[in-house]
Amino acid sequence: MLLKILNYFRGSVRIEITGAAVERLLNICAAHDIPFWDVVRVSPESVCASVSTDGFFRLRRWAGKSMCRIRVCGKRGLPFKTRRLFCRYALWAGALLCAACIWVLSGFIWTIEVRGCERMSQLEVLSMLAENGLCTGARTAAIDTVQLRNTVLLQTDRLAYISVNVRGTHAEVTVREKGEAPDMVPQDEPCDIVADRAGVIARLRVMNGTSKVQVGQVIMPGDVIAEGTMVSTQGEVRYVHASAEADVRTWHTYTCKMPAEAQRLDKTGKSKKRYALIIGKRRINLYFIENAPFACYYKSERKEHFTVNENFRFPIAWVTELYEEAETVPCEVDAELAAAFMEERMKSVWESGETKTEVVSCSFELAESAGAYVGIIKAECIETTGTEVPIGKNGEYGTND
Amino acid sequence: MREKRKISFSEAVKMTAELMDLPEDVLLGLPRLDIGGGEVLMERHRGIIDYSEECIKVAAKRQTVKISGSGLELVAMNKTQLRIRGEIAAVEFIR
Repeated sequence: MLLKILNYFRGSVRIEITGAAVERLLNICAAHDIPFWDVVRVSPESVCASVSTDGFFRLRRWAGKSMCRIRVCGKRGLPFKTRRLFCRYALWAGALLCAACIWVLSGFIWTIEVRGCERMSQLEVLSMLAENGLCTGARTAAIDTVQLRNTVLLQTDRLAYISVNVRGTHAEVTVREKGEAPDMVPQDEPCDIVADRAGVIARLRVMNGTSKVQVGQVIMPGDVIAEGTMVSTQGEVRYVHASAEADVRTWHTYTCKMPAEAQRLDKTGKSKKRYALIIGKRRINLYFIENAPFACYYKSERKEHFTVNENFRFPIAWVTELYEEAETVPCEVDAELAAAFMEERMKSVWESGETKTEVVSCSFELAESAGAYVGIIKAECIETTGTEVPIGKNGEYGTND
Repeated sequence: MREKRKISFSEAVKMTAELMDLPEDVLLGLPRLDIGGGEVLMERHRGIIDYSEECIKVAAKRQTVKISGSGLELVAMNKTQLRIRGEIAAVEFIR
């Protein structure tokens, strides 16, 4: 096998040797290191054999001396195939043109990938980038990523960070959005610190203003923690921008209900595949109009980009949609599983809150009533409270008095 | 009186081979044949005498090796070795 592959790359000639002393010529070949193989007797005075290309030219010298005639029956191997291509000028011109096209087009952006969008849409980011010169079809040499990043950050106050990486024909944009800043009262404006949640004061530190509560005192939303009005011993009133850090001990009870019997989606085994081709921004569906192949189904989509390597991506993608038929099967929910699920879910709900919460202790109970599981989670927490409210604008909360 | 016996060259080589534990065929240049798997590999040949699908005669030192059978084919050959493939019926040594 290896020899055959080697002979294919070197090239070989199939010849027919005719004459009275064919064996003599074969002996001469062997004596002069002319490699030949696959010798087959075709008639009493002729044999067919394969010889290498350089061996063929050496063999011709000896053919006359041994009174044999050589006729070429066929040529095999890569050298002959490539030689056949040499005269195909249009093919070479096409290949050169193709290479030139790829070289020219590799200087432009073909695909842009935006990551990290949460509240902003990708379209908004892309339009901002397009305004500053980064869009599909833009020249890669003309893109100054540092300047682009600075310009976009100056244009919008919704982004905290943006990075632009141009790799070959692909641009990778990563964004981080700014969180919503709390309403702050300017430092030179007098204000009070008002509680925004109920609890028992656990820690209190007043940096500026008059403290109105003490540690261990119960407070309700709207109660003033630190007042911006300061009265001197002479009875002189002075208004300041109050500043205080207050932590309150709070108790939370979360309740979650879950039916003891649920519906489960089981795959039936039937599936259908649909294909689509995305070229640039255009999607070509390679299927007939069929909105839902099954009444109930799981859908998974796989998008494969045509790429040469990581940095050289074509703006063409092949989409495979897999629809797997499913049917609803009634099933009983396991109590342990339900408890674990509900506990996880409730914890994630309060952890997703914006305030800084430290959980001191936590307990979970599960009860079954009227065909449903009821989960109750009780947590003791330490939470930070206190918002700045301008003096005299605390009407909606009420005061301590 | 003891008569001196003349030792021929081949006898001397045989004795040397025996004395030095060397393969006799190598020292004498005799052909070596490996037969198996529908193939005959012959070493130390001296050229082909006759070639056909039924019979191939190969010259060797002091003898001719006749390989007979059907569908015989000379697969490869060089200065010292040759390989024959086909249905081998008999291998004869003709002096």
